[in-house]
Amino acid sequence: MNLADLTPEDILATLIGKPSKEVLGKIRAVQNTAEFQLFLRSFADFFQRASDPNAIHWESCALSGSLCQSLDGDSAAGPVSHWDTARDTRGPHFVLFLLCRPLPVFSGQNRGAEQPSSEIAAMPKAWQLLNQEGQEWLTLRGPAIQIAYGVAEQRARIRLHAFPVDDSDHLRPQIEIEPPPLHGALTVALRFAFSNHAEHRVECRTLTVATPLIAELFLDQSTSDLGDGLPTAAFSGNWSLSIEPLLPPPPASG
Amino acid sequence: MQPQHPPDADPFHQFLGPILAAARYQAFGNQTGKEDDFQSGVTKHWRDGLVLPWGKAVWNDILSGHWGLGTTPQQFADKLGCDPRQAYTGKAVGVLTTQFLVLSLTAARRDPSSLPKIGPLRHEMVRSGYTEAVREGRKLLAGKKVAKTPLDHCDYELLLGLHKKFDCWFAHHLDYVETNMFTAAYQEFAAGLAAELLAAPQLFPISLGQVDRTIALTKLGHLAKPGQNPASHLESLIETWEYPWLLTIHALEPLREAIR
Repeated sequence: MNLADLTPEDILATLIGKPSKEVLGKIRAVQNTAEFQLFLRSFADFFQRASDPNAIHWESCALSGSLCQSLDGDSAAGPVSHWDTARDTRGPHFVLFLLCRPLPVFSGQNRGAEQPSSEIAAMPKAWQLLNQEGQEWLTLRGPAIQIAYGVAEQRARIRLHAFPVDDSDHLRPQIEIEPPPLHGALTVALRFAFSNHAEHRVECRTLTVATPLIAELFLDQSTSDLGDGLPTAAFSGNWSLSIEPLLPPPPASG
Repeated sequence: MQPQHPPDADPFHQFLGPILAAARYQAFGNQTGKEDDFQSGVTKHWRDGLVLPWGKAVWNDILSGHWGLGTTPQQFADKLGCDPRQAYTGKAVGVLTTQFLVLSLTAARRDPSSLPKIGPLRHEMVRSGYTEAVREGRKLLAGKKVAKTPLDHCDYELLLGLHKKFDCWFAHHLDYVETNMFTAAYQEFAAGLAAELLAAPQLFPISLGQVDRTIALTKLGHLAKPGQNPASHLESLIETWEYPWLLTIHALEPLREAIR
């Protein structure tokens, strides 16, 4: 029994009324799963973020903490404690869930790389990231954006590139951001959620876009370093992507 | 090419969307007109409710004596030659028309920049907007029947507090649904929630008005006392308000930017 065995009506009946014994049994079976706990958090946030001005931001929903949990495989800690830790120690989250529109292949993308496999060759190699309304210009917020751009809120366009890895069917992600961060390096966590051989997986890659060395000569866009390789499934089929600007690590003491 | 919808892999998008759809279907069926009426009704009440705390603050400021327009609604009405009932209602509820505002500013030779600031009232304004909207939402869902239980400031805060600890509440709720009895842990949880709100007096500031403030604090004090039945109150709140609240928030989604 898992969350997918419950219908929306089952959940609705349990949340706002009195469910039947059968439904109650189903809910009991999944009650303590991390997935269901995450769902409860998300449902609660739906109420809070709209009606409580002090609640966390719309985009910064509970998923951030839970995805971290999936990544760490820290099931023993439980979703709630992980969520609280993530929220308390890192301030208000800003996580943007993105749509990906494949772009025509960029020239020079595969320069220097070995001939990729046919599956990789057939895949798009770059995507324009869009917000849920399908717009290219994304609004980024949060303390990390303040550090990178010197403003609390920055509109930016982001592209995702995928570079084939030699002798492997993996792809290395890279982001390209416009305008470049001029005040400080911008580090983001990209979370890829995808299905690989019927198994749900979440992989995170942390990428940093450095500040241009000479601000006066900066280009319209800046690119990040290349992330570690991801399976092709992370970029195809039923995949999803979220992006979270991260605060830079605290300076080393001494 | 259509952009891929990414959120299939995450439970939030996977489940909340269908749940909202199920709730909307239960409420409106396939009648889009009914849903449109619901949306316009709750939006209007949300707007009306949102401005009331500020209106109240302005009335309190006007009748503080600093404006030279008197300290009672009667004195104010005498000075400006208006119906005192309007001033009484305005002070009590917060209704403030542009006509009254401009008239008062002109008579007192004051600048609009001296009016009370919205910032400190934001929480109260959002709460007022939502309570009005959800009340209307429940009324619309119930057809012509008028909601008997008002959603007051205290209940609003209790519901918000409950949602902050939703996973914990849900476990108690399931126990209650299964056995039809409130466990001691549930009672403790509910009393603790009331005590937490009681310890946050900023939620019910003086600007709320003496009557509303006293009602809210007395109710919370009662729920936090040992030997009461606060869990039953939470269950009744959920049963009464969760469904209209869910649909109202959904209907107000387009205004989210304004609400923030």
